[in-house]
Amino acid sequence: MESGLRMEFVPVGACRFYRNARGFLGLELDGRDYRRVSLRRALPFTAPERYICVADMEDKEIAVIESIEAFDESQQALLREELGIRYFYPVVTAVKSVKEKMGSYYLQISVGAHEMNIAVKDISKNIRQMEANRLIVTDVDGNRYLIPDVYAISKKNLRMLEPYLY
Amino acid sequence: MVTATFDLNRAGEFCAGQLCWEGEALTVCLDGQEQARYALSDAAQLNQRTDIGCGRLELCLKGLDDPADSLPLCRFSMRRAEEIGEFCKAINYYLKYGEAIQPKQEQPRICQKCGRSLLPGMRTCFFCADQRVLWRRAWRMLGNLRPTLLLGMVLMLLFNGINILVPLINRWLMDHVLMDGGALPAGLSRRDALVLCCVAIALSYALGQGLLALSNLRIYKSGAFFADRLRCLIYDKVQNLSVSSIQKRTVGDLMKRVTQDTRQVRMFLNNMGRACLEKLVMLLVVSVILLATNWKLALCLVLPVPLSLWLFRRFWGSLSIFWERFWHCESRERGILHDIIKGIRVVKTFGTEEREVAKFAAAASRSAAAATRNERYWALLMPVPRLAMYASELIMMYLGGRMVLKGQMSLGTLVQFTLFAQYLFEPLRWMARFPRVLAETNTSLIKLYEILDEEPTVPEAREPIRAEIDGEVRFEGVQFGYKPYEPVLKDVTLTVAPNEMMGLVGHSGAGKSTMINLVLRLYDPDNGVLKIGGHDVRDYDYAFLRENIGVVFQETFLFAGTVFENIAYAKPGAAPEEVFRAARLANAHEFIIALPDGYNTFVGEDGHNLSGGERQRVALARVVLKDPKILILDEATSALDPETEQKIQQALERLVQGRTTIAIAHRLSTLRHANRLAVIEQGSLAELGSHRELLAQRGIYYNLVMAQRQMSTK
Repeated sequence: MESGLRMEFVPVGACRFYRNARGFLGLELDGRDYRRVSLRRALPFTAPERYICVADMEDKEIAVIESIEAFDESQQALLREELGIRYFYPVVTAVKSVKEKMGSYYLQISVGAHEMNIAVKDISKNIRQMEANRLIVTDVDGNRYLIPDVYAISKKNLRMLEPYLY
Repeated sequence: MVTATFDLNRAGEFCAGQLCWEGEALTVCLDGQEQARYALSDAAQLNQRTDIGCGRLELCLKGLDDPADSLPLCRFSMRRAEEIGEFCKAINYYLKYGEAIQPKQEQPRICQKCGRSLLPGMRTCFFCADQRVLWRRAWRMLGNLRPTLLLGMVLMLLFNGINILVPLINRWLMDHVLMDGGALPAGLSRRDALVLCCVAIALSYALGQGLLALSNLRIYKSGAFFADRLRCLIYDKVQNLSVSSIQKRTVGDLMKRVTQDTRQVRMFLNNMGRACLEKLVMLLVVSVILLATNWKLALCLVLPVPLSLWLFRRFWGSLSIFWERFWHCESRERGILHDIIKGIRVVKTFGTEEREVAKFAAAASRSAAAATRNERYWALLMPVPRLAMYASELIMMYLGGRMVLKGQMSLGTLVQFTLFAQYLFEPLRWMARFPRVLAETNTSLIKLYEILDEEPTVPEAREPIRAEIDGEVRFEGVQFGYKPYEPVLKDVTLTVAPNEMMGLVGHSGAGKSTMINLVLRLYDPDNGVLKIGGHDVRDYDYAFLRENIGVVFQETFLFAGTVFENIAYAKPGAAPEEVFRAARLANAHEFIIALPDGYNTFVGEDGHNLSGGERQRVALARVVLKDPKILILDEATSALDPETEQKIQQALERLVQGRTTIAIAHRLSTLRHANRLAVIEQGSLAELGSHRELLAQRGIYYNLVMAQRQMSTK
């Protein structure tokens, strides 16, 4: 069988991630040094810490990691940090208001101390409920926002968002 | 100095950052403090990378091509992506050509007033638009319809005035004619007075209705004509807009603007605008009359009403949330149903009917639950304002009755009050609805103005030329991207000689179709020049340029109409012989003549079903008839069976004679007649030469050919 068709997870011991001089993520694997690699989640919503593909800068896949948790702590931290850079989902701490106008929705939200207004079009596609109470909201510019637990933000906020949850 | 804003620090927190480019220096500032300074003399280029929900900018230094050696400059959210893309493009242009250009000012899509995000393609915030400006502009656009509209309004006021007369006559009738001891004018018997009152009431009704009819006629007329005028303006504008601004909006959106938004404005003029004036005047006059007659009674009639309306509007907020939920449940239910029916073959082949039924049942019960909840609230809430109105009427009855019994007020006055109460409640009930409608009309007006004010992104030259086109097409250092941060063509220089057939080859997404879009001037290059016949395409008369270019696409669009009309579309008024000749050249004549209705066969959406190959040949005939100097074939023969393809190939061979042809094809065999081939790789010209030369080079083209040969021998 061709090698590209096999789905094998890279053994944890065989690879070592590091930061190169410029701050990019590098990988040593099987005696080869990849000086800059990028990480991609196969299941960003449902399994963000599992099935991570490692690709070189020409988008060629080098390896697949089964689970981040199998690595030692410092490697875990490195991988999480890199994923956090590539996948930018600011965590919404409060939803101040939800307004509808001509089919688009305008949300006033807080991301920590930062207050912002976002516009969401086509909410059935752009407000997605993940498992249980996690929501991902995609705004018109392509930014994504994460609401880790809708039920954890106050009840009033919840009521504003409720109609859009299935 | 050129600047751009970025909004994320390295840790992914929001910040206020700025990139400044002045002369040879590029500085990165964070919260007003300089963080780093780079000399552009060391730089090879800037690279913008798009991650998920954010992006980053990196500086590639001279001699260090490996991306691992780039210098990270900044990170930014997608809100800034376009602005940074323009900045990046300007610097890269400078690094390449040593010429400083001003980047296109990409404003972040944020309303300047309230800070809300704007929708793509919109410049006005729905929340902040000045409503007076909107309506003043609409008033100006009314133009010569204004007198008609005003006359209608005046007639409407007269109708209202007459309407108010009736209760007053009633009161006089009650107090002076029917009651014992009423004072009648001298020389008038009670019977005569009764008849007189009835006649007066009848007359005022008749006159009122007559005035109403006249006024309606005037107002409807101006509304209809105004909507018509708006629609024509919008349609005209849409036709003249460049493809990029049309592509910003979906077809549905444009259709909605042409039809729905203009209808909304007409409806407003016809119903709400008229009613608004009518009700307001009515409310005012009746209130004044009532207060003047007996202010105590008037107050107890008027006061509870706003209270209940206020209550109602307060609850309306939560009520609309329930509606919203119900609406979503329903649309989800519909979506599932739609999926199952459309994909019924898949469902059957996988034997998953039961699972699908269960899924649908779950959605259905959810929407039923939402509906029940909805109705419950509605049923409980609805009676509140009504009860309040009944209550105030009852209170008025009681207090008024007591006054009559005590002799403080005449019976006629009470009757007048009950009659006027109706006049009062109606406008009040209506006022609760009015803000909503006004808001909807406002947004419709904004959307219409948006289209009317749109500046074409492919503007016509000030003094367009219509010079003879000799057929040479030349790309000179052309750069282009649909989004500023995603360059599609990086630097293309390519000359297609007159009457040459040039094949464009490359992987999907390499930029071949984009090159064709530029030749058609659907877009203009960001940098560099595209010349046709020695002149910049931007200098040509728009229509003239298009007249000289013929295109055959993979997907053929036939308009609703006959085959003849579809071919003659290229040349209105073409003689039948010309059309037949074109069809013959395109190998279409044979099959058309075999159709029962021949050239009169109706095609298009609901018409006769032509096969893909047949449609393609009709489209070819259309181009033959157009007889363009430059011919563009965009995957014209893919997706056809070999026999049909051969027929079309044959037709094409005839067609390319004496024309400059640019052809895109994935199946390389279709390009065997091309004089030269250009291999496009990642937005740049990678190889150029004849089929034989390129094979000898053993480069990208060689590999493509070999790969296809392998496929076909397997």
